[in-house]
Amino acid sequence: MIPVLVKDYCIGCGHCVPFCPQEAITVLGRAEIDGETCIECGICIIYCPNEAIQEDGG
Amino acid sequence: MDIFEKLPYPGGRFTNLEYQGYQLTTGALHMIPHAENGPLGTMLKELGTGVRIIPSHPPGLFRIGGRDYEFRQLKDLFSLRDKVKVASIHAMLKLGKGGKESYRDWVKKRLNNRLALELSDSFCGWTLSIHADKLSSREFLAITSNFNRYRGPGIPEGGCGAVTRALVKVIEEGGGNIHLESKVTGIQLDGGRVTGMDCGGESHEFDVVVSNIGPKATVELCGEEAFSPDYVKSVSNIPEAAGIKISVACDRPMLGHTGALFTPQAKRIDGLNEVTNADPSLAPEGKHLLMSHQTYEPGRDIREEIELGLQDLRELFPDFDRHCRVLMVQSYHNGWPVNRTMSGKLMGPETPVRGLYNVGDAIKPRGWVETEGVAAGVKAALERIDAYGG
Ligand SMILES: Cc1cc2nc3c(=O)[nH]c(=O)nc-3n(C[C@H](O)[C@H](O)[C@H](O)COP(=O)(O)OP(=O)(O)OC[C@H]3O[C@@H](n4cnc5c(N)ncnc54)[C@H](O)[C@@H]3O)c2cc1C
Ligand code: SF4
Ligand code: SF4
Repeated sequence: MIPVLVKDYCIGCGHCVPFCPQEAITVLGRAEIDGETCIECGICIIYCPNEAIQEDGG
Repeated sequence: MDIFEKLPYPGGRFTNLEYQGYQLTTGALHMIPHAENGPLGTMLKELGTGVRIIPSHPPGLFRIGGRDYEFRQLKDLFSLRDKVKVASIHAMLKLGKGGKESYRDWVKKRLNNRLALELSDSFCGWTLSIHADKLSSREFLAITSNFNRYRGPGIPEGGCGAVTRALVKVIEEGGGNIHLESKVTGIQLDGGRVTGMDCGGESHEFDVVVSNIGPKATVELCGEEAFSPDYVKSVSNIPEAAGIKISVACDRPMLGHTGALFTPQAKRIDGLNEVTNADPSLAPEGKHLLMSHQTYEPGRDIREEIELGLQDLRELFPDFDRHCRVLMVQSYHNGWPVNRTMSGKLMGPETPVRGLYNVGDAIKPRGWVETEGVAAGVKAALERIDAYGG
């Protein structure tokens, strides 16, 4: 489940941050996912209230 | 009763978000505007939730020129001539009705003084996430009248998540079902009446549907064709209130009290609180959680606004970098705002569809702020639902 950030949907609310087991997400106005540490678990996808993180191709 | 929530947890923007041992939140600043005395406190008591709300003491201080003042001390900051005008404004805040003009214009007409306008903006910014030019004086005076009558804020023990947990328990013990990760994809209507809704590819029959996702999104779930063009236009144009919250970990108390600190002279931050002075369990032992809030005007560069907020923190607390660490900066706008409807833009719970009601932070009766408004709107909706014959 490679997470892809849809930049226009992300508002920077930070909900995804605490749920990422890898601490791969940082937020400052908008989320950024560190591809190096992300293990593609897909948890952030379900915790985003704005559907801003989607599966690759989703 | 069935509740459908698209996220994996209940509580929307009013629950705890644990991060690095600190109880941050999905939105709220962990405060209940009228503590135990307002519509939310009353509702929690009537439901027997046992939620303890710790009253803020002092309710709020104002940082001006590096010193903190209580509300009653503010008049000392004005010249002798302006003191008379300040006294008259105070009297009107207790008794007046206000009108359509903005609260900023209302103040300016009575006292054209920079500090008076900055005070108005920081109070409105912290309490409503809009500045005084966006709020009618009628709404502001209704709000202050409620603060006079129902007093100041409080912090629920355990944070706003404790309120959500208690409400979940009430619902489940009452036989209600909460379905998580269950996104509603449509509301079914027949002959101008609600008949059910769709979720997860299945249809569910209901006589009454209550929506807290905002009137615009509710119309979209029903299909615009079910409403008059005027109604669709009216819900599409509702302005939201946006904001930015900065949560900070501190190794010592930076405010040292349980109320709000209004910051009228800061560049962006309207106010701060330090909830760990009321409930130390909201941070790891010996640490404190400081939260700032600033109004965000959509269209402005969000990164620049955040940067100005961070600068404010360092100016307000010269020893910030020695004692504090920014945990998270959260911004709220564009469909997931601070308030789905700006305060003062009133809308009732009824919709043109029979059996369909709106509640939530777009439906706040006059004078009620934040979750007090949500609770007052829910009460109004329940009265309508009780009277609904199908
Ligand atoms: C920064 C900030 C600070 C605040 N501070 C305070 C404070 O200190 N005190 C206070 O009283 N209030 C505060 N508020 C306001 C308070 O959080 C809101 O008034 C309150 O959360 C609104 O509740 P609601 O039920 O209307 O909406 P929400 O809490 O947003 O709930 C709506 C729910 O609907 C879900 N949903 C959306 N679409 C669907 C769908 N299609 N299907 C199923 N579920 C769906 C969402 O996931 C969400 O959980 C603050 C808000 C913010 C953002
Ligand atoms: S997919 Fe998993 S590891 Fe990657 S950013 Fe999302 S939550 Fe973190
Ligand atoms: S939860 Fe979604 S909207 Fe919020 S910061 Fe993360 S990706 Fe952006």
